[in-house]
Amino acid sequence: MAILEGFVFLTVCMGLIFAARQFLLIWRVGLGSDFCDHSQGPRFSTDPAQWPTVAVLVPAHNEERVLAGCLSAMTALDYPAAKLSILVINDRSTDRTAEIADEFAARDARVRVIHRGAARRPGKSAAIVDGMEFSAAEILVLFDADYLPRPRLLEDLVAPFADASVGATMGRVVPCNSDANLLTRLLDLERRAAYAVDQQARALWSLMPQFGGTVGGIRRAALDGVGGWREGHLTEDTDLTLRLALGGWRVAYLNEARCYEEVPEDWASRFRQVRRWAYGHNECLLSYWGGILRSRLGARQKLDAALILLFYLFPACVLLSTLAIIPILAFGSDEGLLGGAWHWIAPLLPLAVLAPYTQVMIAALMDRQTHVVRTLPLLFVSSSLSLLASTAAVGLLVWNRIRGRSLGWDKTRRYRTA
Amino acid sequence: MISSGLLTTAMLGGGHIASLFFLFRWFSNSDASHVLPIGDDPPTRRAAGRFTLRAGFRVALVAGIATALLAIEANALAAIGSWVPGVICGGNWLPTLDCRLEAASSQLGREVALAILVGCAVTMFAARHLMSSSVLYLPALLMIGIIGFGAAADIIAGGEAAARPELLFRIIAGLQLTAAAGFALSAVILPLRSVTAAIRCLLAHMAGASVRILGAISILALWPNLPAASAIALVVTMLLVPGVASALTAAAALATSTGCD
Repeated sequence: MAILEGFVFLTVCMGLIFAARQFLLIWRVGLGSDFCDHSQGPRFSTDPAQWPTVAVLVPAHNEERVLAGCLSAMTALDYPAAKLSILVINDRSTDRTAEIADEFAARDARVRVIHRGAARRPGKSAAIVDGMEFSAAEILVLFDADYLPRPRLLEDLVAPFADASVGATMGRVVPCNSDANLLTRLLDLERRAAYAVDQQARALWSLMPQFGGTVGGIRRAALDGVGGWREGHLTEDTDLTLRLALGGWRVAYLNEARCYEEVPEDWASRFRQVRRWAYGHNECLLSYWGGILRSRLGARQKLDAALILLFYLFPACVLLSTLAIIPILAFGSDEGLLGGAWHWIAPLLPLAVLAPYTQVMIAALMDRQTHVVRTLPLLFVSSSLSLLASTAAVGLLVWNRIRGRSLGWDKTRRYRTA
Repeated sequence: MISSGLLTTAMLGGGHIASLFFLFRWFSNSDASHVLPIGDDPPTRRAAGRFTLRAGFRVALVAGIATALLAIEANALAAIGSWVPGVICGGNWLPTLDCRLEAASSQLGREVALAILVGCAVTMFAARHLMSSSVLYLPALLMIGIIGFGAAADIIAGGEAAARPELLFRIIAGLQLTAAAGFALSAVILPLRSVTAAIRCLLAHMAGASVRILGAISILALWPNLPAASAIALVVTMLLVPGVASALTAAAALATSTGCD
């Protein structure tokens, strides 16, 4: 029983730290956004000839439903034509993806298609590695095949690279199918909090805004300097974020550089998506925990990195603690660790529980769409999904590590057509 | 006597579940679009937040109202709860923590636990066939699984004793505090454009409080008949989780008052 109580106590403490962090981030954002206004920082010359070369990479595996719309948007991007190339990486597709991509390549000289053979290693990160070999551009910008960037987005994503310390930029992904059903509305709320509050505040405080692997740019020199893009990693974005931070590079987050994406419309797709993220994230935890602690990062950055690494382990701890607390409360007494700590924990728990909801309210307020808060009380529905998926991922990771295997790539289902 | 008590408990529990259904249905109804526009307009520089006297007054006023609502809810629960046999509450301004439940525990703990476990299995089977494509499917499975876990723990442990009633009152008090904090945060953060909106916010919070009180009463009525771990599991799934959701009823009401911003 003492072991169970200790585990629950640690989980509660972790929860209080995460909640305190969320409130601190809310407070920082509430102080004002004098930051992501890059008009105050270094600027590229107004002469387009001075702008960096950019390669837009679009990995595509069986994306016939959405690829045409995506490439139409890519070819309409407002960037000096001579400085822009669009690389579609057909990742062993078995539908019309290759045909659609080739049609666009025939129409637009900036578009180039790379067809990966069946023998190549599957997965988005492997596809990106192959695509990078075909480009010598100074800046690489990644988009998923279902994304619809507005014409000015590329300029917005590239502009911060005028600052030599910036290794990557990250825009804001906005669900375009939020109105589809309850799940998409809840995921929209989660996205708002994650971008409008979490990412923004971390950028304001020079912490570690996360590079998300899409709607983001990478400086080729920075990427090469930290070991390049790694194949076989389920969350190559988290992996790269940590390597860039350890390499002394900054990730610039741009809340106004927005791009539409699709979120899962059914629980099974969402479950697989979160399980993939949690699996990869926890692999990063195992790989980088020691490196982060031993690094020369500042204390705030180390703490932020630690919390990022624990982000997808915490839900598993919450679920296991929920199960553990039942026998503790049922068969235990007030003499244990939890009984003793109850008096100082209890008043903090309500605020800790409300922290994520508060973050969503603030995000909705900043987006000037407070009507979305009507669905907020039901956030526990999507949180339960994430809880189960994260726990499944932890279990799967432990099991696979014992057996010496890895989790395969799982493609997220698309809903939009063209 | 036993059957009328169980009937009353069943009615209270059914009422709680029905009220949660209507409340959650209201939360999920939304006519306005949730899609955030991503126009090409240049980013506007937001003014830095300042702690003005007006903002300070609003925070103080909301904190005072939230405290009053907390006291009202706690005393309402104490008053209504006193109708449940064995419930005795104190007379201070927050009586929940002083409440006691003095009732003889059931001697059929293991049998009750077994019945709960079978009920969970049946419910899981039914859920799989009726709602497997619904977004509520996994959360429902999670809740049922937690209840089943509690029942299994009781069967293994013997299931003779009921859980300590003070645990239930602590949890209820925590939920009331969470609701008050939820009201306060909602009223401070979200725009309050009219007196009508403020009244809707208060009424919505009271509606949420009614749902929480109904849930607490139904668990109180059932408590002496439940073995310990099953009782805790039921409190977590049927009281805590929906209780936190109902704590944000005021936020949902304010959201409907604003319409599209």
